[in-house]
Order: sequence, then structure tokens, then C-alpha cells
Amino acid sequence: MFDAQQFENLRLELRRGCLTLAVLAQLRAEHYGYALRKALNDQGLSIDENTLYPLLRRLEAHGLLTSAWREEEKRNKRFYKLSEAGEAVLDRLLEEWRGLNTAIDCISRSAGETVQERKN
Amino acid sequence: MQLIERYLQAVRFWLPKAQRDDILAEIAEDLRSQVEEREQMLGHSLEPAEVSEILKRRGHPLLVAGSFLPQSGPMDPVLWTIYRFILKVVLLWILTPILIVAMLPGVIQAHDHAAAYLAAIAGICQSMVFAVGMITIVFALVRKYGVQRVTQLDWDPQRLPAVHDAQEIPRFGSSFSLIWGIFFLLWWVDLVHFPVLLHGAAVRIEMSPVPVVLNACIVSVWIWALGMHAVNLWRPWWTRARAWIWLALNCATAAVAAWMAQAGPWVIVTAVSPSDTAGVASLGRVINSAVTGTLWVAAGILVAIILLQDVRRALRGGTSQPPVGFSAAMKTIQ
Repeated sequence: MFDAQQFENLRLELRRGCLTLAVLAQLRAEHYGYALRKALNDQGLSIDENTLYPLLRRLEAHGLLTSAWREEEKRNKRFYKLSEAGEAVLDRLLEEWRGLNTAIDCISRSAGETVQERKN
Repeated sequence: MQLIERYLQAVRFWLPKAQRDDILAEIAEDLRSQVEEREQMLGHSLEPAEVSEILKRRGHPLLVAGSFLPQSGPMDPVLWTIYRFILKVVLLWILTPILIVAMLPGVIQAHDHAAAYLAAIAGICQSMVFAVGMITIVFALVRKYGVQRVTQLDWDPQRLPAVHDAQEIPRFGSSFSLIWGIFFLLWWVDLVHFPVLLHGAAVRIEMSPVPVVLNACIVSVWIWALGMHAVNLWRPWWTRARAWIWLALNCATAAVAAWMAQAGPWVIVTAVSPSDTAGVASLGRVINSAVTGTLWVAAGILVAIILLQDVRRALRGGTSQPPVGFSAAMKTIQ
């Protein structure tokens, strides 16, 4: 039987790639970590701090983001922004995402119609 | 904010050295933003219990640090961090000194030094491989049967250890060293009079005369050390100058200890009744050998302290201000 933990694993797996895409897209405008998390949350995508900050570091290490410490409101904050390479990768990923989205939409709709037909 | 500092200190311990300060500064900033937002929402400064709630939501320090660690093969990053830490402690800080101390006399006393040296190296390697194997098996079992993940353990941020400031010099240690040092100096220069160390039914043990130059060096180094302890008691934090002076003091002390080890005998054992002179002479040799050995060990320990602690502290520098906790260090980092 498929238990809650197995479902959670699948859900996390599904979210993992989406989070990267969301973070890259949100960082077209410069944000510091906490503001980025709030911005994503306000748009319906909650992300845990222990996922976000390591992800930001990985993306920066891959050259997709740039970062700099800067003072704002009398506190030093690390601001992240999409790099040039990040822009290019984001465009390609978004294209891939739209394709996947359309395909999944199509598949789930046609599968739903087939089930409905069988029921009728 | 003391709780946040204690939490950051706990996270810091597990972070990779190269990125430690940077990661910590970012976590600190995130936590401050969360606290600030919550305070604005509630309209008052947060109570420790409320800060504790934020920290608890953030997660166990080990889990937080583990999320920044690279995935290491099949092992969970958190488990991998603990595994590496235990390996380091067991191999470097427990096994190596024990094996060296256990095998050194054999190597020194052997007729064929090279063969004894190689045999000792082989023995050390064998013991280390065995230790690594045992630790790895234990961790494999922990991973396989998931005894209970550390990160899932119930924990309370308010029970995290107090913030340790590397610049701070504990006053208790300085006071103890000062009192003991003054007493020793008074005894050494004969102001407190104990000419006979032991006067039993059979033997009398007393200090043998110390060469004048060596005696002057011992007294000078001791007064220098007392001065340092007094300053440390008065201003209990490391400054760059004091760190360098302390390094020089420990170098001088190690040199004097090595000189003392060579300059024995340190005690004279005489028989009260002339019945067993051979036994008394043998006792004298044993005591003097023990004193010499102790002095060599002391010199060795001092050299290790100089290399592992004093040089690092002197190069790192200090503060010209009293330490005001971890938050100050965090501001410096940022």
C-alpha cells in the first residue's frame, strides 16, 4: 500500500525541479534570501529556508546567479541576481516547463475523458 | 538575541570551514529578519520562548548545517558529517596519541631502530584501519536500520550551550594559575621553606642544587608567566600583542623544560638508616627518571600547544575591546 511517506517523497521529487525554476525566475529582479522567500510565498510557492539557502549557493556555484553583500536598512544582506548564463538557462528551462505543462495537461485531460467514457 | 547566538554557534560547529562564516552570516540575517517581522506583528520584543519557537521551526542545528553540505554518496549528509567528525576525533585525537605513547618506548629501547620504527608504523596503520572499519560498520548499521535520526530527536533551543567567545580568557583559569604560580615561585626561591620533600622512616628526599643560570631562567620565565596571568585576570580577552607574547612565553617555557630535563638529577635520596643503600640509590634513579620523563612530556605538550593553538591565535589576532559576544563577531564577519 502506498503510504504517506512514499507520497511525500514523490511530492518532494516533483517540487524539486519546480523550485529551482521558480527561484531562477524570481531572481530576474534582485532579492536577498528572506525577501525572496517571502516573494515566492506571496505567490503561492512556500519554500523552506533549509532548502532555499543551499539551493541559492548551488545555483551560484553553477554560475547561474551572482551575489553580493550590501547594507540595507542598517543591516548587511546578501543580494542574489540572475547572471547572464542564468538568463539563458532560465529561458530554456521555461520553454521546457511550458512544453511539459502542456503535455501533462493534455495527457491528464485525455485520460480523464477516457475514464468518463468508460463510466458512461 | 542570546538564543540566536547560541543557535548559530551550534550550527557553526558542523559547517565546512571554507564557507562557515559566510553561511553563518546569511543564516543570522535570515533569523533576524524573521524575529523583526514577528516583533512588528506582535508589537513587542520577543520573549525567549517566542525566539525559541522560531529556531525550532528553523530546525535542529545539525540538520541546518547538513543542508549546506554536499551529498556524499549513499550516506545522508547529516550522518556523513557525524561520521567524519567521529573518525577525526578517534583517529587524530585519541588513537594517534595513545599509539605513539604506547609504541615509543619500544622503538627507543629496540636494538634495531629502523625495524622497530617500521613495525610501530605498521601497528599504527593496522589499528587505524581496524578503527575505521568498526566505525564504518556502526554507521552503516545506523543508516540501514535507522535507529533514530538525530534530526528527528526532540530538542530545545533554550538548552543549547552558552556562547563561547574565542577571544575571552576565563578568569577562573587565570586566578588559579596566578595563585598556584605565586605559591610555586615562593617555594622555588626558598621564601616558603620546604627543604625536605619527604622524610620517612627509611629515606629522606630533598631537592638537589640547581645551576645558577638555569635557576635564573626558571625564575624569569615563571615571573613572566605570573605577569601574563595577572594581565589576563585584569583584561580577560586576547589582544594581538598578548597572543604573540603568550606564544613567546610558551616557547621559552618549552625551552626551559627541555633544559631542565637534561640538567638532572633533581632530587637527592638519602637513607636514614644505612642498611639499604642500594635500594635507596635505585629509588633515587627511579624518581629522577620520572622527573626527567615528566619534563620531556611537558616540553612536548607545550610544543604541541604552541603549534596547534598559540600560533593560530597569534596569527588570527585579537580584539582591542572587551568581547561582547557572538553578535559582535557576526557583525565583523559581515
